[in-house]
Amino acid sequence: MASHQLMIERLPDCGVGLVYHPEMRNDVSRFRDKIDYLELIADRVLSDLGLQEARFLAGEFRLLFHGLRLSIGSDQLPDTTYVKSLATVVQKFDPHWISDHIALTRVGDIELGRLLPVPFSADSASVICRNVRHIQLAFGCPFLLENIAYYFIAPGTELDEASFITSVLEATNSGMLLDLNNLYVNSVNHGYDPYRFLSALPLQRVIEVHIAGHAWRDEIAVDTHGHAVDPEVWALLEWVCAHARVRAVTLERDQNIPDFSEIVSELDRMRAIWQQGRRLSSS
Amino acid sequence: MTVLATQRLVARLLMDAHFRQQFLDEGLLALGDADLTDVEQRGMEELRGRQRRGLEFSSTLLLGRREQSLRGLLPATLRLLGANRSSRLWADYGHQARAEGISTVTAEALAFARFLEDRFDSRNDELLSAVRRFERRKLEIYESRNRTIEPHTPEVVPAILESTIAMIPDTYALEVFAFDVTQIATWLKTQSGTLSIPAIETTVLFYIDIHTRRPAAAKVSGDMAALIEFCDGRRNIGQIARALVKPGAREPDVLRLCQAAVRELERHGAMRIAPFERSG
Repeated sequence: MASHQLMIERLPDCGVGLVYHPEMRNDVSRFRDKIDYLELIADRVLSDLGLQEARFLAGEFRLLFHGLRLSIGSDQLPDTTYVKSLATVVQKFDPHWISDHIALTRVGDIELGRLLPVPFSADSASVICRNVRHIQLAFGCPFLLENIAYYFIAPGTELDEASFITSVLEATNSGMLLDLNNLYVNSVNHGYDPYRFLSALPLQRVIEVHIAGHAWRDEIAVDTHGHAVDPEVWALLEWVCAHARVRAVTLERDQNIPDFSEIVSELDRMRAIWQQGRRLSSS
Repeated sequence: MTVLATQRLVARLLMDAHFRQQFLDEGLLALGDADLTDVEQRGMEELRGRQRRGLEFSSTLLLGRREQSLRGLLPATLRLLGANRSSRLWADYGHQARAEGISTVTAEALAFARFLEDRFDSRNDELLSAVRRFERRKLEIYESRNRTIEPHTPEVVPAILESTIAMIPDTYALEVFAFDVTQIATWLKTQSGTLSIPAIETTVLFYIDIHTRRPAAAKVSGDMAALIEFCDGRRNIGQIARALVKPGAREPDVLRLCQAAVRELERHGAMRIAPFERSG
């Protein structure tokens, strides 16, 4: 496990990147100098067509991979075929790290098709730790865990979320993919202070940050990835970049994709904040 | 309760609208003999109280996401139903569906296709019925992809005319439709507006593509369908041709046609051509 700790500490800076969608193909090439890396949804690389596209993109960009279906919160080992497929992706592209969510997408043999919250409890943490160790062994590269947006608290919860995440990260020597939009919508929907949450996290483990936009439906803030980044989320990014040595800041825009110039201006702002943070931390 | 048992319970609350309503009305009584700890009991009660809106919202999101997957799996059926009607039917399905037994999005799309069969009388809507049957068949083939992908092991039979044996994997089906259903389905997937229905009977071959391992469908002629039925890995191409010769036709001509047809099927990933082993 100590080797995973070292791997996390030695991870290099990746800069500013974007979650890639095929419809962005021409634009990402056109704005190549604005994008340090692309993050690919790992599931989409598993098809022949997806693999072909990833190979093409790897010629131009550094690639990171983000999983959706490891379901590390399920009380069962991750799907062997899926893990093997992702391990093959890691072998082929040698990314600095791979990530997935602290969530359930599968219960027994039921595929839920969506990320659901796990109970924040010691039992649930030990299930996740077992699954993460299994994954770390299979991938052989650093593994990051991401906080999700959730709209109800899973029964069985006995810890606060920050303590729960910290216990899992430390027990498995994993890095964290901190999703600031998820944090923000949770803080609004469940009524807590996001900065207190951040202060309770082991910030030295925050390797990557996701930012995105959200929308409101029936007075619930919803993580849509379909809107411009909110000012409150920009403020959270500034705070995190000033307090942690973040290696990568990724913009997620999965739907309602605007003219690419709008994405580029968000990438520029992310870069300015990230670079400011790097200057602060080095001084 | 074990972590898995609690997870199953929450999944059911999210996916089974009837069970959820019962729980919201009756509380823990609705959970039967679930062996909940004090912490879990409090968490469950909160789902009826201040977490209720979040539970219902998550359920809507889950149903919406699954509906999105459905659009990829039954695209022509949903297009034919129209956005409003398909959303209404999907919501009705959500009220009836149970979490148990629905393990994948494909299984759910199949369950929804069956639900539609119960809702619509095929005599009143022949086109919808045909398109739904077409897409359901593709899904059934897709569901079976992991079960029998390997072709038959050919029996050793004496060579007659040719040294090639044609094999189609078990995972295929041939169905006849009253309309040109492949053209209708393609049109529905890609276009909008009105459609003039080509009233031409079609035979459709459903299969798992040997190269991509994806489900596929192709329009075939009646003669091709007859040939496919003979390509079971037990006959060489000469035997197949001999079986297909009609009165008045010349066997060598039929053989050439069979060879061309088999090569075409192989090119489309529907068939393997294996070398024939001589006995003795």
